[in-house]
Amino acid sequence: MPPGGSSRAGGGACNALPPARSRGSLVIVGTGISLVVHTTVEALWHMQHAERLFYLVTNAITEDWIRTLNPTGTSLQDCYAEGKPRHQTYEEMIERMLGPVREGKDVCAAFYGHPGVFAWPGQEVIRRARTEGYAARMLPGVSTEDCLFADLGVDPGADGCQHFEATDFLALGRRFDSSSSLILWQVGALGEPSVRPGMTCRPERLRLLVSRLRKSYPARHPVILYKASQFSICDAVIRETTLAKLPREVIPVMATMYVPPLPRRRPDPRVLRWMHES
Amino acid sequence: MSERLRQFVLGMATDLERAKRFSADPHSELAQTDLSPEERDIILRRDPDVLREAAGMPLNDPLSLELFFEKPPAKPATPGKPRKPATRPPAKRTPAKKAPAKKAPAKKAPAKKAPAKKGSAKRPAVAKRGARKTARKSTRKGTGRRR
Repeated sequence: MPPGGSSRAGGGACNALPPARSRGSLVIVGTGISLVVHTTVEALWHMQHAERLFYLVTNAITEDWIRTLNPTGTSLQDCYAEGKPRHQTYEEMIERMLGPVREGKDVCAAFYGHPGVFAWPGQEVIRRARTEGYAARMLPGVSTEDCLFADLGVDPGADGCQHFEATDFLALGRRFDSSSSLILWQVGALGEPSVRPGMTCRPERLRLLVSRLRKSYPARHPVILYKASQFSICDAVIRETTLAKLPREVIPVMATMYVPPLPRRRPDPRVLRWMHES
Repeated sequence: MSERLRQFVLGMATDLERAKRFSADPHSELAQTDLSPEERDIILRRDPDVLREAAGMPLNDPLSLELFFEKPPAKPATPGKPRKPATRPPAKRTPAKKAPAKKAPAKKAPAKKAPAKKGSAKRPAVAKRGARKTARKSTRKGTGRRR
């Protein structure tokens, strides 16, 4: 569906923000993972109609597209720099987004994927805008998790699903249920305080991760390395391996690891009895 | 080269009819474009990393990764270091527990005094006596059973 045609429908639906333009407002939207096609009608409308549009996306084609939507489109990418402390980068992004809001403008910021998933600045800018008395809201976007469920045929409702950032999982010794799905994000950047182009996960760190997982899973337990497709003409990257073979894999930083659940446990008979009650 | 590739990929994303035709017959769809044979080959490989590199984009975008251990509240630290502070907090917690323990009896004391003021001073005394009696009875019964 062309973006121009869908914007009309979205215009009618977006009425949650207060009409007072003088106060300034902020809407954080997600562009989804796959270029253009994952952007919701509602997000598209806000991107087109914002008085100031900021964006933080991962590829130049998405940037090209966003600039056609709104001439005020400004990238936040230049806030990043190698060696620059990440919190400083985030502060700059937040202040840049809040500046026009304080001037009374309707601001929209578009983030890659879901704007509130693995995107601290998106969540923080909403909190700060609200603290300062401005109308601020976040619209959901299609995240890697959504793509993973679709591409791998995983229903989180079937066995439950646990999510952890890989470094967080290891460093904090997170507890999890092996009879439920386990998703580890950013396995490729395991224990890295900073990242650089082309880097992959270090084998010794993968071995530590495997030893941790081996306490709950057998060595031959399957593991899927997943990378959602950013372009509609490309397929998602899905590599299946086992826990034992995992340290030999080359894992890019953007990869997500999916660990299928072990067989179900026996359900509690007391709860099962509830099903037979009228 | 990169610009033509970008336009092609963007066109596929914005025109889903065209994308559908491409997925059904990629060669005939590519024949209608001005892409070079090399560019067509890149498209046909359907490898996002190859495509991105050819289109002038970095292979991955590490800068955009959310690094949780670089968040403002948590300063950058190596995975081994957090273990040391993990052992320290219990030592800090123990004095913190002692402090409210001292305050607690101070709060309880006025609470006991309050009903004494409202009612008679005999009530707490009666309650204490009753409690002592029941305690004695229970011990006696217990010892009797054992015997």
